[in-house]
Amino acid sequence: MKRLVSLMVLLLWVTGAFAQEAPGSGKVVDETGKALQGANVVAYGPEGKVLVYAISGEDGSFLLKKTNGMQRLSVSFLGYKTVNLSAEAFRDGQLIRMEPGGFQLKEVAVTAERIRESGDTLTYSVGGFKQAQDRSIADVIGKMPGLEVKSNGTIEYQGKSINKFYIEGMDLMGSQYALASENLSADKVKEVQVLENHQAVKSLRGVSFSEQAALNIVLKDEAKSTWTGLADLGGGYGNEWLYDNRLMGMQFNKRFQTLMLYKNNNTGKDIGSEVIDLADLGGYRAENGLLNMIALGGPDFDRERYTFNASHLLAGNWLLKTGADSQLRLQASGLLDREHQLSESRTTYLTIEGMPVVVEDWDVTGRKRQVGSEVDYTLNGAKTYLRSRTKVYADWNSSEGRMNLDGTAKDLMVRPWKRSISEDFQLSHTTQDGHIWRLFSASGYTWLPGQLLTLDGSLQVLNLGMLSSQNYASWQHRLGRWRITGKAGLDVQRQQINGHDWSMIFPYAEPAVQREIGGHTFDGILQVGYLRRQYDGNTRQRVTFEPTLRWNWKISPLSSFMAYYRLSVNPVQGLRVVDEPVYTSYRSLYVGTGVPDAQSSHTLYGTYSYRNPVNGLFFSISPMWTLSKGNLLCASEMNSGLYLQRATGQVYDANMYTVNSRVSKSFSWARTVVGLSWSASLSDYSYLSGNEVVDARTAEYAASADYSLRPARWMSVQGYSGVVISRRNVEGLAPTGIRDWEHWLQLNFLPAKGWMVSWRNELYHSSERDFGVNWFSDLSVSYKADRWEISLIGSNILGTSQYERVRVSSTVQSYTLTHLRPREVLLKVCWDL
Amino acid sequence: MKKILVLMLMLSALDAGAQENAQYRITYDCDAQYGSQRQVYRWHLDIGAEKAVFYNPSNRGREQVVNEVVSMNDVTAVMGRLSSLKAQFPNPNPMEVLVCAAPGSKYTYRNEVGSDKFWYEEERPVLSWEMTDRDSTICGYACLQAKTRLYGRDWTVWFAPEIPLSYGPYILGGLPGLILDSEDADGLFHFTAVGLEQDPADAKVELLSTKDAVKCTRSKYLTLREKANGQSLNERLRERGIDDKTVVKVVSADGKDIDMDADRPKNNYLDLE
Repeated sequence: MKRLVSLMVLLLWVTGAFAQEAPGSGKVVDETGKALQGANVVAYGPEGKVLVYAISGEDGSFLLKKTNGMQRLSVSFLGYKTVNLSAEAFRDGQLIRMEPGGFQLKEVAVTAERIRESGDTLTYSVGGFKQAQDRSIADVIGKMPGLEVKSNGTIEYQGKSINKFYIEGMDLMGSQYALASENLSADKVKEVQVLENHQAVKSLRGVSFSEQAALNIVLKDEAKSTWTGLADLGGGYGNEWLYDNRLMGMQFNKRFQTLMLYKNNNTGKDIGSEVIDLADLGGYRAENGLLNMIALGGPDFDRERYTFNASHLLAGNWLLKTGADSQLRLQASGLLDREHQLSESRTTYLTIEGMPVVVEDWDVTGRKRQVGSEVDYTLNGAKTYLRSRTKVYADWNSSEGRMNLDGTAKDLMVRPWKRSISEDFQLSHTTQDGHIWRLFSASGYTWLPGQLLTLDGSLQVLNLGMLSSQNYASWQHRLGRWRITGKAGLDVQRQQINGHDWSMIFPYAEPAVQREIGGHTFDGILQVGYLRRQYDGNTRQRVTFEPTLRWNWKISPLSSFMAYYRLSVNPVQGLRVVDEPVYTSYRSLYVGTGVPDAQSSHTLYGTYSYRNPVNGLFFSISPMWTLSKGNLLCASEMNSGLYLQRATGQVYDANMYTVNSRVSKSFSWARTVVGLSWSASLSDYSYLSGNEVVDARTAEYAASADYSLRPARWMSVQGYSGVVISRRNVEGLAPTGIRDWEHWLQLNFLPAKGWMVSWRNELYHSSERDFGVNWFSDLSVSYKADRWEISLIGSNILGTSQYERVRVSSTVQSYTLTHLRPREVLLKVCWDL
Repeated sequence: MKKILVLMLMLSALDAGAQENAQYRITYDCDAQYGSQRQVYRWHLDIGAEKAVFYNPSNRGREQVVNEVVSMNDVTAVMGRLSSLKAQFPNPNPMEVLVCAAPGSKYTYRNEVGSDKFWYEEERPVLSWEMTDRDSTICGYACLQAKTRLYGRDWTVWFAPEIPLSYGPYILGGLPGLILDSEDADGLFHFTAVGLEQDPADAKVELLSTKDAVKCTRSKYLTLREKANGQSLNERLRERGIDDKTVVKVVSADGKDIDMDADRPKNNYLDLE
């Protein structure tokens, strides 16, 4: 009876294909003859193809159909050795005896889910991406697919800059987040969350769409609610004594957060960039003048290779939660930086009789002395949003030095001082019915009392005062699936340039509609305004129509598309209008037309992004086209060594086409992450050569690959290879083009617990023969305990201390010499406080 | 004859109720679509000598904390613990299934509809597997591909003949090898094995208690589930006899207003029929 039941049950379990042919049977027993239930019986054909299979029943019996082409029969059961029988050896009704044998499951350790998706939030586990060589959280963020850390510290997600950098959900850093990302230890961070399409204003969530993502740093429990910090002490020697120190204290509570830091170094590392505004918070931005610090530039190497600096940075950020939805933030920073630049060049003019040689030796010291502070109060309630931000900034930056031109010494001095004060204010309220009121104002004044020593030895003063105020009020109404917005605004600008007065006033009305259809959101905006410009009594006015069309399409949970078109009209700024020659460098002057013109531009932009957090594949592509009309053509003159650019009344149209794309993928094998980026940028423009308008095109194509992996427990690899191809086509001239390559490879060996040997190699070469092949190598040994680390770092161990370049063309032969940082050794101790 | 067969099947179901220790733990990540979003759920398949249980460890961890918290008197502490639950136990899912290895056995299913817990027993469907010629390697094991249809969904799975365990995610199984990867034809669910462990510590092959759950039949459960799918908070409250006069304000754990009538995304289920 029992056998009959088993047989019936088994009949149900065999595959459909069995039913058509005569069955074969057998019985599986253990070494003592006891029936084994649940054994797998599989008949394999050629190339391991499963032909038929069965699972043994309660009494160990199985029913299998004999099939054509069977080559072997495999019987397996956990804890027993697998029995393999050839087709010839298998007989109907055969008793298969299994011997106990050690079936051991090949274990696969579950790693922390590297990327986890929950709605609009992607959570990256820091442990899943951190490599032994990573110190700051920015080092790890750079290895997370979909995220990228740019050389200036900007963090991008799917090709777009992030709009917020939260720590434990609080906005302590504002727009200066590099201070946290570059200094917060990766060991203190548990997870990095990407909040996609992040709308920071709670009352506007689900109403106003944001294209940008925000980042949230989730700390480990031990780093929360307690004072933690870092102290680094580093000293060494190259051509001079070296230092590299840092002291940082921080606390992250639910009601209070702070991060305070002092750091200094003279090892070439740029720390000033840690306090620049990276995220655009949509308020007043201090304006730039005409003068700049003297920058001699250098070869296309990492700037650290030829920067001789002495930098000190003191910064503090404090955030206090004043209520459930409100917070007060204070940020202050001061930077002292001295940079010494040396360069020598000799240019021989081969086509001029006597082949004159121009010798230029530069010795310039740039000093940055800057302080900035910001107070921000935000109320971010479910219905009401209020934000007030007051910002002050002042610097006393200067570049001073000496240039030797053909044996004649010239003193150089430029003081592009800047001071600014601004106030941004935003208020929005969502009513019970879902209507939204908004008030916005961003106003500021930038004063640029610049000074410049010119070629003839005279001191020029360039006094600029620039006032700007943008204000609007808007009201949004919801009508079913339509959202209708009415907006009225007033933009005012005034610029005073050495007594000349330029101003602009722009009142406007801006109706807009938004409609959602399925996964599509369409926006249509039309700004109608009256643009009035005035320069020293000369007035121009016009009515402007500026439409914007936007389309967002959520194609699937994995991919999305966005496109927009915008026509914008912008007045030519006072700095470009001024009709008195103004110095822009010690030997360059600019003079405008004195006519307060306006320019217009058409922009068409699209972006497609795909991300699959499960297999770690991220892809984005963003093409853009811009046509700008009304660009001023400038005539150039050279008089007694002075270079004068004079704006003519003529204008030209410029077209610009760009595409940026990146694909990155993480693999479970060896924690591998690979990223490929490429971009293309074409620019069509015109310039004046004599009295003739010449059309030209520049093109830049770039491609790069970056990767990091840990192929063995004792080794990790990180590298980058990239090429930039630049081409220039000028009407009537042969096209020119160069290819610049950059590669770096860092190998890290972990010979014993805590020990790491890192070897970094950089290689630069170019299609320009005179550039040569340039190789730099750094080596470091470190030992890391739980709370401290000691490292011995050797930089530029090959000791290349000068970079010489000879460039020969049919008309000119030039030689330049750049001094590089020599071989240096630094001993560094870091404590985790 | 028929009676004997029924009796035998019942006995085997009773037998399945006895506790046993897990000998193997297979960890799967399921990339699943919820409404218009995708989320990754982690699942464990704990396999014993005769049966296996498939559950979401995040949900079990969450349940444990909630049970601890309920017995606390300090309201502030309770709110504190509850607010961190989401981060601590991401993407919980209350579904659990206890399956028997024996051919033709029953399985026990436990799940929640709204805040109500249900469980039922159902005969394990006989799956007709179609083998394809494709092979692959998953978690270091050579795998073969097979296809089947279960409760209205078409599944493509990869199984490892090297591991003679005829289980898989959910109630997929009956193949001569452990299923390490399975995906449905609509692309709504994709289970991938991410970990294999032998003799996991303190792992009993059992469901989360069915004591607090209501026993029903599969068809009754499906009816309840269908009714609740896409229901707004207001509708659910009204169904329970709580009207606008009773509820003053409903807020989430972090104090935010909850839109009582907001459309809830429609769930996708592993079984369609």
